[in-house]
Amino acid sequence: MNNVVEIKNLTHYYGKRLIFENLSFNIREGSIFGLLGKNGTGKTTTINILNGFLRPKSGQCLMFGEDSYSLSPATKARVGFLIEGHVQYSFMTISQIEKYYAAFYPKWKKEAYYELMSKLSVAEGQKLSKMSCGQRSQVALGLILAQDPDLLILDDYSMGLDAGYRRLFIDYLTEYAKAENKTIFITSHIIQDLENFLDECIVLDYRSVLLTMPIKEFLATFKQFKFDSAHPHLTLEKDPVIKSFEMVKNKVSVYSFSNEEEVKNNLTAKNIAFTNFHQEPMSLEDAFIGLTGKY
Amino acid sequence: MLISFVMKEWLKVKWVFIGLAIVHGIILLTIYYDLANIFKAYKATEVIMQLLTFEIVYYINVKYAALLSGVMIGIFQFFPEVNQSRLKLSFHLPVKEHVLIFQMAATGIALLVALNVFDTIVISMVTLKYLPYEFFESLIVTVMPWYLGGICAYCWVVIVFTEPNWMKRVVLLCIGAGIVSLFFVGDGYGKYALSLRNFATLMVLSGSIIFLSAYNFKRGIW
Amino acid sequence: MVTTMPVLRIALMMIIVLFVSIFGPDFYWKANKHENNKTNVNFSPIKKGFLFTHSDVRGSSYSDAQGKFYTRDEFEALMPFLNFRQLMLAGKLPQSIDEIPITPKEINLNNFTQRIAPALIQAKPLQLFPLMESASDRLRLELPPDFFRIGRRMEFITALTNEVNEEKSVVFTKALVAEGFTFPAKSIYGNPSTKKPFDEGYFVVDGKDRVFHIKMVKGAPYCKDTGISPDLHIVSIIPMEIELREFYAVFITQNNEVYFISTDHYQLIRLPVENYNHEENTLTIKGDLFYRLITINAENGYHATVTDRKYAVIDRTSAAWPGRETTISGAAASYLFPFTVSIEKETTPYIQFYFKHSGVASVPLLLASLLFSIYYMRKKNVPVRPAMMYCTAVVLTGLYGIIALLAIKDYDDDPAQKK
Repeated sequence: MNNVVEIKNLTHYYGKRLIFENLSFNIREGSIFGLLGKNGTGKTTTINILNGFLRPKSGQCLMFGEDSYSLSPATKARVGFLIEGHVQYSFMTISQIEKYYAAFYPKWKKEAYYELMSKLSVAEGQKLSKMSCGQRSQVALGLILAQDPDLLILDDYSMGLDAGYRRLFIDYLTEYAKAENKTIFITSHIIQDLENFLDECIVLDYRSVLLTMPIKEFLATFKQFKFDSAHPHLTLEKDPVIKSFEMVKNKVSVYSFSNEEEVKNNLTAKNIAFTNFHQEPMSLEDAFIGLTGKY
Repeated sequence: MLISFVMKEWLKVKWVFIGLAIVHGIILLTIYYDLANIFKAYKATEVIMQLLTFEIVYYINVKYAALLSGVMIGIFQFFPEVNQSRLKLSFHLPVKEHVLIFQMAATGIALLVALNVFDTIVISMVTLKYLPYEFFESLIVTVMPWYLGGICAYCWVVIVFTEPNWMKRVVLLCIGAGIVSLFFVGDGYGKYALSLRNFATLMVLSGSIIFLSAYNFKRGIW
Repeated sequence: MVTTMPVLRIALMMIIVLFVSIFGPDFYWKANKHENNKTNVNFSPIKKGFLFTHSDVRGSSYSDAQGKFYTRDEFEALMPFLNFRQLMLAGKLPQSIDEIPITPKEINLNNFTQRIAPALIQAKPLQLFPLMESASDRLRLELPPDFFRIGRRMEFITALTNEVNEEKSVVFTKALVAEGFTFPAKSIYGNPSTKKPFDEGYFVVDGKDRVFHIKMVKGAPYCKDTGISPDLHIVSIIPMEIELREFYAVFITQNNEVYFISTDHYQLIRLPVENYNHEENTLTIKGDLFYRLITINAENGYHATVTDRKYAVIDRTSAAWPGRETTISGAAASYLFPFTVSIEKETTPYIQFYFKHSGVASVPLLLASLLFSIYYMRKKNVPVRPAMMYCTAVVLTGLYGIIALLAIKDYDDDPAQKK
């Protein structure tokens, strides 16, 4: 399968502040790819570089084989882009904005947009600025769906949305992704919504990449183990086995890609006594927090 | 595509343009009534003699209208674009960036030109009604630097708005204010008669910087 | 968009250079105000020598060519024509000078001053003029009800109706044609003021550079070819309607010659003027009962010539004083600023970009700027071609170029410049 997006050794600074270094990942055609990370880890920066709104200090970023900084109009037409906060032209009405974008995209599907609009209780002549945040998000989504792009880039679609609208978003996206060879690249700070949606994900930490793998593999191999410890001030260094560690009173949680036996051996080697050792099931959100830490 | 694009620009500036058109209308009416009344109050020869001797530009307020319009249209057209980085939406369209910027600026300038043409026609009519042809002749060369200055002011508003770095914005604002002020120096008829071409060049030069600034905006969005 | 960037950056540099070269020196001179020497030249009929009035913030002082200073009273006594009213008040006006009896009436009749500044010569007002009645039986001059222009014909436009007075236009045009006038007029010179003692109409240069005298006498046209040679290349005629009635006007030629047009059949009187440049200097002609004093004032000095009433030179004097450039701040300015641009100039009413070079004084800083820009280009790893472009710009514009270069520095990491 072809890669729609190829990011190679991307490094970026804001002034002297390093955002990330040597970031590399690919997005396969037809996949749903999630870019996860806490606030300030460079999610929006990556999206901006990908859309050519920012020139990285070094490294390469290709979209449909073109340098993302100088995309041809033809390639831009194949990419749908939802700006963080569903930003659109708030001075336009529902019908004006549809007519506006329709002129730029030959494959424009007017019905897709109006189908979505019909579900909102708004008039065609209503200005975007007079709509709720959730309604505006649907307008932004409708416009992207009508554009019928091959690659959809969504920068924090969940921002400011309540559970209902978030679900609506994912439902439409799932429907959209069913069509042939549609690729979705999504970032969000609400992880739980994405559990059954993503194919693959990359997890960013400050200045580095924590993980790049298919989501099923991540959920299958990343485990949480809990045990009790008599030691009141137990500390554990991160190592190839122990990815993360936390302790509340005498209850200890460790996160690892290794199996139970290996973790136990690791602890024993460090002379740590434990009782009541067991594996605890995790959601994607638990796993994400386990990997990135709470702070 | 172009129509659609112009439509969007129009929606942004529709109200400010109508407002400006009203302001221009009021200014033009004032010019008309002032001239008409002065001819009612004083001997016609003396009025004309005063205009000739002191080079009184009876349509001087058009100067301020031109400047005001340039600044206002610039602000209303580009504030919504820079606010929340909406310019990203435009840059994402399947159109080359410079074409896009050109179309945006051209729309704004076209609206300014429309106001300028409106002003010129009305003052010309008033002038030809009350004054000999010579006043009409000097009119074009007298108002032209103001029109160029208004467009130049528009360009600098756009440049300042699209510049992402605050520090540089302040610097560009100072430079822009200085450059624009050059178009509004001196009173009297046809003071720029010998330098219109140079000032037109300065305006075009200023206009070209919009591309640089917009490009910088694209490069530097955080 | 990308490929045009270097051109745009040069455009921005040009604008910044223009901005700094206009406002930088302007601000500099506001902060280092330079007071120009103000010396007024006079010629004393008593002493038969030049007297000078120096004015500054403290007031005026008076001296002669030998450096002797005078009090105000002494000065006034030495200049009886200039100060005859004051002397009369004090009862000190002499009855005669050089055994020639003088009266206040005669003094007043013969006194005149005509100042011709470059801006006056450069100015081209709207070519629309009132033609007054020159032989009016009224006490004062009055404005006519119409204005004239001389295009394809001489045309009178009635002010009240804004319509052409056909009858009057035809009459005057005929008179002009009869005298051999070639339409359209190139320039029209007059003094359209009712505050003058009498009216002599206009001097008009026709399509073939001949000078005509046109006025209105008892409602009828008066048009006379003055016979002044077109080869003189007149740049301006300044009518002088003064009671003395010795001449109609003074005119300046392209070659900086100055002539009176005498009332005696338009005979020309050439004034013995030296060192005059009509584009830069102010010419002042003062007349009194005995003399004509012609002064050429430049920014940094003057030349004065005194003649008798037959225009034979009696004496000349000149002075030059150190200009703004020779002061410490002036020297610093020409070192700092390779050139200055101003859009207004005292010698012309027109707005234009007026360049003024600082000469060799600016060379050291230009070279230093060049060295800096070369260093800067190397530090920034700018490729050879654009680097040469920038360095050339800097060596031509010095400090301005450096400012411009630093102002656009953040635009440097442009994709057109692969490192």
